[in-house]
Amino acid sequence: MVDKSQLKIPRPIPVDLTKLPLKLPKIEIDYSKCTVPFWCKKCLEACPQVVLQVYCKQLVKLRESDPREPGIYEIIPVRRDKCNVCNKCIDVCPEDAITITY
Amino acid sequence: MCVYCDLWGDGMIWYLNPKNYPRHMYTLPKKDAAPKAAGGEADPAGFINAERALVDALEKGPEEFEATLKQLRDGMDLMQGSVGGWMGQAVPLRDAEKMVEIASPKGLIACICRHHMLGREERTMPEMTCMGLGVGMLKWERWPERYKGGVYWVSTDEAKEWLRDLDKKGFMHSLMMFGPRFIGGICNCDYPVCDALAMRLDFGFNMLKGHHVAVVDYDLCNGCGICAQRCQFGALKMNVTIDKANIDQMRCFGCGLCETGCPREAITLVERAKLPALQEVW
Repeated sequence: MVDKSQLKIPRPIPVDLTKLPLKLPKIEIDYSKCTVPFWCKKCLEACPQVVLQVYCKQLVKLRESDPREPGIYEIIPVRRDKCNVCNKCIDVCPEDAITITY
Repeated sequence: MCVYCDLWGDGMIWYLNPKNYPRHMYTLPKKDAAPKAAGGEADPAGFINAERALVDALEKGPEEFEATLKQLRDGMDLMQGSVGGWMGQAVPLRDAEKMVEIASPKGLIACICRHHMLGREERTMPEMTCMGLGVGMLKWERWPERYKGGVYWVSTDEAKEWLRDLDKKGFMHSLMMFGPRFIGGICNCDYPVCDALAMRLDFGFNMLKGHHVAVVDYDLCNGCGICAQRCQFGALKMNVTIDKANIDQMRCFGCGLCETGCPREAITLVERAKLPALQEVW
């Protein structure tokens, strides 16, 4: 193992700590309505700030998941710090699964 | 000095040291070895959840944010064998070309960040924007969900041509570490759809600056502004007063996109180590 105490490790923090805590928009996704996000991905393409991310919940060895099978993929609002509450994702969502409160 | 050159450089730039490519892929894992992580084997939501925790901490307060950042850096070190959470480093095109000469085999793959952020699949070779290096890539078939579209094996010349094509489009190159002393890939990134780049610019970890910084020759620059369109870091802007490009070297990552894009060869890369005040700016 590396002895980290002997090394000069850069540790920049670009976040202005004096401004924390921030007030961030709350984004909720109704997973009973949003079932096939990787097949739809309309909100991912619409979001100008790339707030939302999609990932595969069930990683199975030797098998590729079918994006049309419900419940395999899930959208998560990751970068809420960048959300400007433009509501474009809500407008494009065919299932009305997204709610944003600020 | 770059922390990885210090540790694993053996007197040269660490990513040009062939010792940092094969790793323990050639040997069987030991029973008491540290938890390993590679491409598809890691928790699929691991990194996303970590990012999410960091954003959530912004809502809580400065102490909580610093604690979460420390936890994330330490977690990365434990999982990926990095030091201080630094998993990648910006690499100029010329060094990326040297890297593909050292590493073998090389396979083009789909980018996992664009998969997460935009739902991109990159199923065919011309779309692929990521390259896996080393024998670890031979195990790709175990995780078809990660390597959608499979792996497109390339020769050194093909890899160089592919890198130059992506460079022309305006992607910056970076290396990725997958385990201690193991360079496992070359990414071609742009903000904000690259996780590593977004994390570095917004929160300050994951991607180290490169070994160079860009310099403009004002006599040659005609103020065309192509370089300003290519900079992913906000380091290069047009100095409107004198109608020339201006580079903030404190922000410059040394990716060399401005250099390769300049039609008049007015921008050159100089070694960071030669500029005293930039030596420790990573």
